Parts: sequence; C-alpha cells; structure tokens
Amino acid sequence: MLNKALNFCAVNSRFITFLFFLFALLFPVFFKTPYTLRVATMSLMFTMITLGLNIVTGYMGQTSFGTAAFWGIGAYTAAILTTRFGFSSLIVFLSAAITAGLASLFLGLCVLKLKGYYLAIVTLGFCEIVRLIELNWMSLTRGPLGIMNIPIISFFGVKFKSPTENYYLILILLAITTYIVSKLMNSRFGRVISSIREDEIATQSMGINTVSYKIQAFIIYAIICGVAGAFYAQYMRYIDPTMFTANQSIEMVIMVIFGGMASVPGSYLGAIFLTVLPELLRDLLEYRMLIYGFIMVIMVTVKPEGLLGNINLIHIKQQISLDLDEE
Amino acid sequence: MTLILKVSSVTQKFGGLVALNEINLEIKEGEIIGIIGPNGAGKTTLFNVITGYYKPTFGTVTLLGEDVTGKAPYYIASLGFGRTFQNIRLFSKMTSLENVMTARTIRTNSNFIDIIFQTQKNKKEEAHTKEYAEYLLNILNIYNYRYTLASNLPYGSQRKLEIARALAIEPKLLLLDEPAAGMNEKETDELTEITNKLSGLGYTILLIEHDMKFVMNTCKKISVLNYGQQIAFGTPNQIRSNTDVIEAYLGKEEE
Repeated sequence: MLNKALNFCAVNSRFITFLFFLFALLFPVFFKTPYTLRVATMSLMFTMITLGLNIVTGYMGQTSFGTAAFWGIGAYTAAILTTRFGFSSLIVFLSAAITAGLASLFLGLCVLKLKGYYLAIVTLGFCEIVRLIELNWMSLTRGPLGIMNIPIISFFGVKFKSPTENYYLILILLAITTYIVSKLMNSRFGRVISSIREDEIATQSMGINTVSYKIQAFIIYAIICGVAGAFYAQYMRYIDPTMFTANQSIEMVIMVIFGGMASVPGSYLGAIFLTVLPELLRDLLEYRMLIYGFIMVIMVTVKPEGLLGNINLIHIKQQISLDLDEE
Repeated sequence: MTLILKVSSVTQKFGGLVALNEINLEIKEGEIIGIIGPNGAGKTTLFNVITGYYKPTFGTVTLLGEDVTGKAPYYIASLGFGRTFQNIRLFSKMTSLENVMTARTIRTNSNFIDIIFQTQKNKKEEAHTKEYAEYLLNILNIYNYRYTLASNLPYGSQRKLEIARALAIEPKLLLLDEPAAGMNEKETDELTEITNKLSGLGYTILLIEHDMKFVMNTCKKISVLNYGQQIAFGTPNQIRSNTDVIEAYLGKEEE
C-alpha cells in the first residue's frame, strides 16, 4: 500500500508540487492571524535554508554546522546596508548573497580538503568565529546591542508592509530555491555531488576535481542561507548576535536529518514540522531540547536517512517505466 | 605506435619496506598487458603509483609524454585513465546508469546557467551522456540493470559496472585491478570475452590478476612481480615456462 502511494507520488510529482503551492498561496486567505502568518513565514524561510543545507549535508554527505554563520552574515549585511545606506532590498539581497558566498569560498579554500568529522568541527568553529565577530566588531555591528529599526523590505519603491506580503515574498524565494536545487541535483553537477558522498576516491578516479565541486556546493548553500538571512533581518526588523548561534546550526542539521537527507520533499517536511512543533509545544518550553534530543536518537537509530531520505521519486519512476515495458 | 605509459625505475619505499624496486614498464597503444605475482608482490602498489595515489620514492611515470609522477589522482585520471578497484567502489545508492553517467562528467561541460535555465546545450549533453552510458552498459551486457541501484546488483554485474564506468571517459589506458576476483568459471569466461572485445575496440589495457587462465587468454604480454621486483616479462608462453616464475609460484594450483 505504501508502495502504491509512493508510485502515485512519483508519477504525479509535478501535480503534487502544484497542489502544495496552491495550498500555500491560499493559506493567508484562510489563516489571517498575524501569529499564524508569522509561523508560516518562518517555516518557509527555514525550508529554504534546509534545502541549502541539504545540498551539502544530505546530497554531498558533508555535515556542516556553519549554517547560522552564513544566515547571520546575510542578515547583518542586509541590516547594515539598509540602516546605514538605505539601499533597496534588491541590492541588499544580492549583497547578502555575495557576502555569504565569499565567506564560504574563504572557508572552503581553507578547509575543504578535510573530511567527515574534522570538517564538521571546523564548520562549528567557523560558526562561533562569525558570532564572535558580530559580537565584538562594535563599530560595524553594534555588538550586543544589535541593529534595530531595520527598514521593511522594499523592491523598486514598493514597500512590503503587511505580514501577508512578506509571506508571499518568502514563498516566491522558496519556490525559486526549490526549483534551482531540484534542477542542480538532477544534473551533471548533482550526480558528482551525490557521488562524492558515496565514494570520493572513485569520483576522483574519474578525473573529477572533487575539492572544486565541494567548494561550489558550499558556495551555493551559503548563498541560499545568506538570502534567507537578508529576508530575516528585514522581516524581524531587529537582529543581534544571539540569534545566530551554533545551536541554531545544529537545529538546522536536525531538520535535514529528520525530514530526509538528499530529499527536497524531506527538506519541506523537516523544516515545517520542526518549526511548527516548538510553537505547538510552547507550554512545554523547558522540555524542548529534551524532545529534540529524543527525536534525534530515534531517527538516528531507526531511520538515519530521515523520514523521506530513502525515497527517490526519480528512481521509482524509472522502475515503473521498466515494469510498463515488460507488459 | 604511440607510447601510452612509461614507468621508469619506479621505486616505492614505505619506511624500511621496499614495496617496489626499480620497476620499468612500457605500454604501447592497443596492447593488453597483465601484471601477475604472489600476494604482496607490489602489484596494487604499482597501480597506485601510476594513478597518483602514491608518489614514488624514486623514478617517474610518464603518461602520453607528460610526466605525471606524484600529481593529483584526479588530474592524472583526467588525462585519460579509467580504472577499476580491487575492492569494488561503486556508488551504492545510485543506479547503474547514474554511475556510468557520473563517470562521463569530464567529457561534458554544462555550467550552472545551462542547468538552471535548461538550455539546448544542457539538454543535448544530458541526452548524449545517457545514450553513451547505455551503450557502455550494453557492451558489458548489463543494460537490463540500468535502473537498478548499484548495491542491488549481483556481484559479477557489479564488477562489470566498474568496468563500464572506467570506459566512460574514453580512456587512453584502462587499468583493471583484479577484475575477475571472486568470479566463478562461467563469469570469468564472459569477462575474458568482454576484455578481448574491448581490446578489439582499440582500448589499451593494463590489468592485475591472479586468475591464470584469464591472464593467459587475454594478455599479449605479462610482467611478473615478486617482492617488488620484476622477475620476468614476456608472452604468456614464455612466462609459463619461465623457471623463476614457476619458483615464485611454487605451490599455487594451475587453473
């Protein structure tokens, strides 16, 4: 029965995607309260970040605890450029992308010859370093005071005042990100990325410069996180270094692991579930980390690839076409 | 005839252990050469030196006229090497077709723009990559398994998939590391046929093997290593009757 459901999803994946985005488009019509819209907006933003992280941790198999660093770099770039120079959001988002991308290029050149656990620890260190820079470079970031009164998003003079408008903006950004990640991961580039996870030595034996591909994947991941950060800064209107910690990075890795490694639907599942869950469990705030820890232990023991991790709709479609050929 | 590979006085020491001692080898276009020898003779070490995983203590490796001694493995491979591994290194969670298509990567060059905007160039390249991969799977008789995950393939087919991958970049030199390992008689016969077919298609092949019947039926020349030294080099008949070789293999069953 599960197989039939999966087969249906595989064959009709475009339709299902359409249904999801239709639901997302109509969501604010039925759920108008600012609180609900805020949770929904945050869910979509975290989905965007999770997609980026999935490239590096899910598809490429390199655990990264640096997500909050790139997210924070994007946020601070946006905050500084808007509060000090009043640039419009288009320039700001692009700058955030470039800054985050450059930061990951720098990180990658230093460390991407490392593997596995060593790489993970270094990304954790990088996350902390970025946070400390944000905390201490008072003249640039105002340190622990944070940056406030960040202007709302405006593209070409059009201001995004209401929660609904911001919700639609992040939905568009998410749709673009989803499209880009899907296309990339199912291409020549994506095959190399997946093969690095499987067996890097074999990939090298095919004449492929794996270090170069790792750096490229990191840059794409950082750019996605950076743009999400820029949106976050202009949405929250206030940022400070306590919002971009190693803990955040770890929570995003949990979203990838829970929802499904190397899975686009899995990224949606992990991010939305783990953004909504803390809200539903607000009464159990003290138990939040306990519950997260519990989830992690269960997932890693029972299904380490994540709920949707092993499901590859393209492979399922191919198997179906073989069965049809035989008939 | 073009000289594809030249190994000159290659010596590989690991501390006090001399794994390879002044090895010389030349391979010309179209030849099939086998490297045999007892376990521990240095055969895989020699492969690893040729493919750049080890930098030899002395000596040089020249590929198509270029000195590649100690250069990065991916760079050497990009010059036109295809290799298989002694312990299979397939991409388990990818299908056979995807495994071979990945191997074709350096012969294509769609960039991010092509991929994201699905340009004609990208579509043509993807179609061609898929076609070529299917062609290679066909040569190796595993076309039926094209959508099967590599980890689900039967053992003999996994070995064949490794070879199909190695062929994807249209290599100037094909390196096979114990391709017949673990195969039964029937599978080995099929492999012999495939290897000779590949030679007929013009591929230059250097292989390591223990299976004597396979080696004798495919290789035109054989190099015998023992304790890191080459003790004999010649045609299968010459090797068969060489006393040094027989001595080195004393106790090994003839197949």
